[in-house]
Amino acid sequence: MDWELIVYLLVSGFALLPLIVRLQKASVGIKIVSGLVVTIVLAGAILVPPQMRPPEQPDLTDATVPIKHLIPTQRPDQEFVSSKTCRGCHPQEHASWHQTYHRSMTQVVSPDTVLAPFDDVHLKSRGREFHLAREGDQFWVTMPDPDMEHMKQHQGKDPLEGDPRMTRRRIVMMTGSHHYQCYWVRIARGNDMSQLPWIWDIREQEWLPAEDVFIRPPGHGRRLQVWNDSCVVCHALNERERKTDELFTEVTELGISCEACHGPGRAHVEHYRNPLTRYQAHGKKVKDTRIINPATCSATVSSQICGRCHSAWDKTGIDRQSVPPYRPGDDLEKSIHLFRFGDKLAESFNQVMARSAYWQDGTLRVGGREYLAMTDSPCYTRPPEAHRMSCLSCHSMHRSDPNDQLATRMDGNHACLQCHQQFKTRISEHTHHAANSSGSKCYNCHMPHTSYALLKAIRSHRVEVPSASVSAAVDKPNGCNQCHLDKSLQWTADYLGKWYKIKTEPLAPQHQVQSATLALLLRGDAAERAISAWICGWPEAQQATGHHGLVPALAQLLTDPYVAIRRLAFQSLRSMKEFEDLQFDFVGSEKHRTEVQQQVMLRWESLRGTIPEISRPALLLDDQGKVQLEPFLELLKQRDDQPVEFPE
Amino acid sequence: MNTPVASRKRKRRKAAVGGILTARQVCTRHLRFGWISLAVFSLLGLILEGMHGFKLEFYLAEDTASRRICWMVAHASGTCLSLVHISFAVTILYFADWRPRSRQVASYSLCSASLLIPLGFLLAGWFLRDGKPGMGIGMVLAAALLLMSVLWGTAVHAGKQQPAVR
Repeated sequence: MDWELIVYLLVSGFALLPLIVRLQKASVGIKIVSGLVVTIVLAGAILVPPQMRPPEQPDLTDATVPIKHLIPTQRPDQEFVSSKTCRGCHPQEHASWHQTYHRSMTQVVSPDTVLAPFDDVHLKSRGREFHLAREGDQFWVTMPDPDMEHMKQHQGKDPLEGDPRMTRRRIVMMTGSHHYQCYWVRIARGNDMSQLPWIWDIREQEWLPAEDVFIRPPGHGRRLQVWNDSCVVCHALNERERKTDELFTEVTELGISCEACHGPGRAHVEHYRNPLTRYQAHGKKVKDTRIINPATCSATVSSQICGRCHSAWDKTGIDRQSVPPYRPGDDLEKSIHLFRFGDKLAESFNQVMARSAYWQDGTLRVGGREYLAMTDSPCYTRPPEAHRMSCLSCHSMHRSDPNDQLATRMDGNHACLQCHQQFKTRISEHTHHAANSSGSKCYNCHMPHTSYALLKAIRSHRVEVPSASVSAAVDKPNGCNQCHLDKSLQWTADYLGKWYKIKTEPLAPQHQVQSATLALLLRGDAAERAISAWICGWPEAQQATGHHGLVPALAQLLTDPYVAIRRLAFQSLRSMKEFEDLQFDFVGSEKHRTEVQQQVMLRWESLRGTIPEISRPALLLDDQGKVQLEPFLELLKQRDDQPVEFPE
Repeated sequence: MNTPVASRKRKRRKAAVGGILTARQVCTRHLRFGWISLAVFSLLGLILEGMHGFKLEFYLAEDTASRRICWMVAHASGTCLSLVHISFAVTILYFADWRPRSRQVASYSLCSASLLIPLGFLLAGWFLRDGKPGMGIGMVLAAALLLMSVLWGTAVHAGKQQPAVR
């Protein structure tokens, strides 16, 4: 029954009947006007279609189906109210959150939100073709039937097996708006979203095959992602856990919104709905216990709020009957099982991934899970609760640059000087570098780029003191060698000993002369090669090193078995003036890759004379600057080819 | 039955010869309509303010912006039309030689339009369609036509006729 139509007809009839009754002897003009009025009213009733109800399983190729019927349902519940409600009383906080990339983590597709080009784009990867098209305000893809591919994956087969059956699907939802943007289509299982296996790299403005963006062992098959199974937990607010017989996902809101950090807002909203209550509370600094404010919580609690998503965890072993789902303010470690270094459960799920996620000294090496690194820092573990470092010591959701969410002034030494004030006036004395140089930036020595995610190296959030011993033992780069790319670990050990009295055990012969970065580029595992390849393109390292002596090693990585490493090596080469016009298809054929490698080495010929003589032995270059092939190949032969898979 | 209400009704019927009301009766009706609707739509304004005060989600949410606009316009148009009714009542007394039948149709048209416009906006705001106003907006269109014809007719008479009272 369409109530709207019934009310419409009743109201119109009530309003017009007295007039119609008295029209008998009215003039022709009045009759015409009245006739028109009645016609318009009736036309409205006949022509306006009744309200559409969402179909259980809509026709996925039908362009007329409203997009809201194709994506997971967004609905407040008895606990969560959504950011729309918060805006009513907190417009400024809403506005500052609204400009963050957290807000736009998951969005409905529209011309305003899509960053990638969709106008007649043809893409091909692993024998599968995709045609992207924009039709008005809608975005479509002609692709191998995702339902069929999911069925194959479900049966334990390779989704890429056999000839694909092509189908047309509407792109309805997307993830990301900062580094990458990936897109989702609806499949015929509940309201499940399947990832389009192409990712738009926002910085480089190019489409990348999804399989090649992440560090995964070479030759791995296609792994189809379902948003409702994994991403929903952190990329939307309040996912309702689906029972085994349920197929439809419901959330309160797409994206990471107010209540993800402040906890469910219903009780707070209901309490302050009354204007008198608001008036009474005005100006009083009484803490409302119905809502959480991370800024006034203890360091442990506020960090756990971030840690719920910026960590790796599972609920296996957690008694779901007695332990309610995590809400901000709860003890995170009671609600979930965190995958820390050496976790047996994590290893039982995916040994390669569990091993890849950490350096062997227990430092996290995957980006996006910073809670696991930060809580291992002495700044977090040593001080009492009141003086403990937390995520909010440096980051802020409301008073920050959306890029990295660093709070005002926290992109420099002020972040560390908040506590370590003794260095404020004698920074140069402590660092032994010029006060305004990159060597005097606290971050560069104590938070080196030893994590990896999103095709780049990321600063470690385990704040630490550089150590040549640890670097030698576990092949983890340190702050000194990440700037001084042509220096050995022995050189680092000598300076650490001289300046800070840090004792280093005698190092093995290969660490005496050889550049630590060169060694990692050639014989490191995939993560070490990826991080070292990125660091070669880091402007501060290029400036400190002063030459491009690692070009031969980067050229070598252009043919690396890991696609992501090839791309990182290419990007670092392209960051050098001499190679800025270099063209390279990192997913191209082996022949193409070898050709570009040779091209790089040819250009290197004109560069090799510029490498300072003092740096040549460390870089395995002879007196003329030529690569000493024997030790170079010897290092390459030692390459750690253990499979690496990053849980990004 | 001889209650005061029944007696009032009989008197009114007597006065309305052939179903045509006198100028005074039409005037009274519009004064009554005007003042009552002014009270009702002022009250609606108070209710809308109250919904702001109590932060009612179905009124203030981001995706119900059309509802807020429709209901605000319903309040504003209802209040303005109340004043039009009061002016119309006075106008009728002044222009006594307006043909009674035309005057009566104009009177009913104004009443219909004054109901349809604010109620149309209220209805359109209540039944939102994907955040857009519902079908009630059709009533507003029809009523606007009706209102224009009344205003035009009144303006024409105002131009032609001499005032009955000095």
